[in-house]
Amino acid sequence: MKYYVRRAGELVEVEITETGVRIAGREACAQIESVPGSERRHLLIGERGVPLSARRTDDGWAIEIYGRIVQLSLEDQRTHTIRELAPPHGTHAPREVRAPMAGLVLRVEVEEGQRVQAGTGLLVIEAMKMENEIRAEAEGTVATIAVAEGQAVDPDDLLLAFAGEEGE
Amino acid sequence: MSELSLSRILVANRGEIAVRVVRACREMGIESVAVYSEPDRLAPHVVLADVTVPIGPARASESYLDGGKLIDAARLTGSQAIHPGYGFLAENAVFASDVLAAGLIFIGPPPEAIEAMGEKTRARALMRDAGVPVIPGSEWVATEEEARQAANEVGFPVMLKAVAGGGGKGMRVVSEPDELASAFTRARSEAEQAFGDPRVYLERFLDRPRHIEIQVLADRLGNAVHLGERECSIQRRHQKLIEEAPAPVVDAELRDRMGRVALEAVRAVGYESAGTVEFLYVEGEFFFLEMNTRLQVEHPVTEMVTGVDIVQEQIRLAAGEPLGWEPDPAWPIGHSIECRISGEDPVNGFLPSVGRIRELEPPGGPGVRWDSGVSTGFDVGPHYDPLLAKLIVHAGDRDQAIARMRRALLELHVAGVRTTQPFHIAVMGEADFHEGRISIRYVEDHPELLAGVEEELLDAATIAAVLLEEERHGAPMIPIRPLGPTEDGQLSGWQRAFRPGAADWKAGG
Repeated sequence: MKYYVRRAGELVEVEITETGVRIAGREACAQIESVPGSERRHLLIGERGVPLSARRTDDGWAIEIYGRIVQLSLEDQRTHTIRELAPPHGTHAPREVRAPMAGLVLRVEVEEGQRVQAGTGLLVIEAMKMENEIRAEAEGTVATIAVAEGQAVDPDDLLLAFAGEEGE
Repeated sequence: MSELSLSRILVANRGEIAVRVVRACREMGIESVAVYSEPDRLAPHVVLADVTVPIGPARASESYLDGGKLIDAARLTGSQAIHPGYGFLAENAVFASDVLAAGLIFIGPPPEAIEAMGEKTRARALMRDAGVPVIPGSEWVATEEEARQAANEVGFPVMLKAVAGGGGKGMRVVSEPDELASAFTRARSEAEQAFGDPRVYLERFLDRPRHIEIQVLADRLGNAVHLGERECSIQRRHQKLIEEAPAPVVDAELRDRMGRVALEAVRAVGYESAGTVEFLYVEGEFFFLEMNTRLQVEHPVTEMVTGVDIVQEQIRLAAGEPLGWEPDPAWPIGHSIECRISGEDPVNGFLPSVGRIRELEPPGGPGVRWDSGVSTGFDVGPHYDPLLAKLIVHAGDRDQAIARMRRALLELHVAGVRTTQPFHIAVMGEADFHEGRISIRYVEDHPELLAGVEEELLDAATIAAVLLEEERHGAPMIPIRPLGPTEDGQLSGWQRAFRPGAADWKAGG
């Protein structure tokens, strides 16, 4: 069986073999044990044991390993093939900037309609007493600002949206 | 130890440091009183204390920063003394005076000493007068124009710092005159936010110095000792991440020299209790940075290499006992390292991570110490400092301490929040760290530090997810195989390679 795994923005093919897995051309013995009644798992890769926790998500698993939380969406080969045959989405959703953490909007540094370059400071969020500047990842035009200075935000709250670009 | 006059101490803090103080109290036969805000009602410091007092909502200004409530709680519970921990009101001279005025003992230095060292420009002037070397710099600068003039006198690059500052807040490096205007505005704004005082000053910026600090203890009779140094160069935005003792570059002669200078600082302000004199060190020269008039986060590494319980000493000295001992010439014994395990995501710019701790398995075994402020089921919220716990190791020498830390980090399992664990795993396997080639710019100087560990963690997570998915679909479990070579008689390269944070400074790992 082959799986297509999307993780941290990249797609990886993983094949289940008789003794473990083949991932990006590399092969290893691997097995996993579950601790009854908990999310706790123990992964063995070759001779290395790795403690981790695992939770089901809508489209895959969230694996917590050495302080990382890794979100993985999984497709088996069949589902992947069917989806590949479907027509692609025609339009681009407007690009959005979402809160990377809970905090307080200290300053909004741009205005609606303003043209910004990659790296331009957009807003400053204070969390845990530190000021964190959110910068534009690419150039674009600010369409809407969804928050006001002094407003508390939760992770993933919409902060700001860019206008869809012509010819994109 | 003789019978102390103290029988009950209120711990005016939370998290791991409150736990640390509660533990010291219990070992000394003193009852501890924990205070807690609403979300902390099941926090470990509350669970472990003898007496507990609720002091208000999550917001620190209405709970842990409300001096009046803390003093009332001490009175209400018949406590004779207040231990402030670090952060919150620990370096607030007004609070210390209020505690004394209420007829209670403040477990820390006299308010005058806090005040003298708290205002950074005044501290610098005091130290300069006492013959302690200081970095060239200015008095506080009121306007951008004044800042520009002072910067030109001191010479670029300069560092803007909050007059009321500490802990790296309100600090900005300015490399060129062009950057001064925005940095000045930002530093003032951060200073105002963090300390309620927007004043900033500037000083010459040293390139790649080491942060080395001396732990001191002083009694009220004027006896003072130093316990040697700690190196805290591994920092990010002036927030320490890893500390160790001894410092790789400090030999007995330099230790003695820095120690004597630190004791000069102690005498200059009439210091009592535990304190730390911080220096920046570059190529044989060291400069006074600031004095922290409190117990420090990283005090355990000094405890490990000296055997002195610094918190118990603080309590004993606060009770009016004389110091009564001399440092052992054999110190430092072995080597100790501390990694701060914080609720921050090192892969994404150390963004704070909040959530419920669903699983927590601390490491153990020889030479491992786990000072934690959280437990399973505890909600890590956005209200307080992100430090969750400190992992401390002690071993015969630095190499062994690094190996032990790496081993302990691979045992630690936390689920529910992202932590700095991958950062520490990466550092323990990094060549410059291993060779002791470190400075306060270490993190910026190693932008690819986490890449290798991140790749391995992603691969391991991917394998886990795929195996779990197979299991869910009812696939038979892969049979357990004996360890050792695969069928073709070879360990696959990858099997050997999967070693997160493996010591890449050693050929072949």
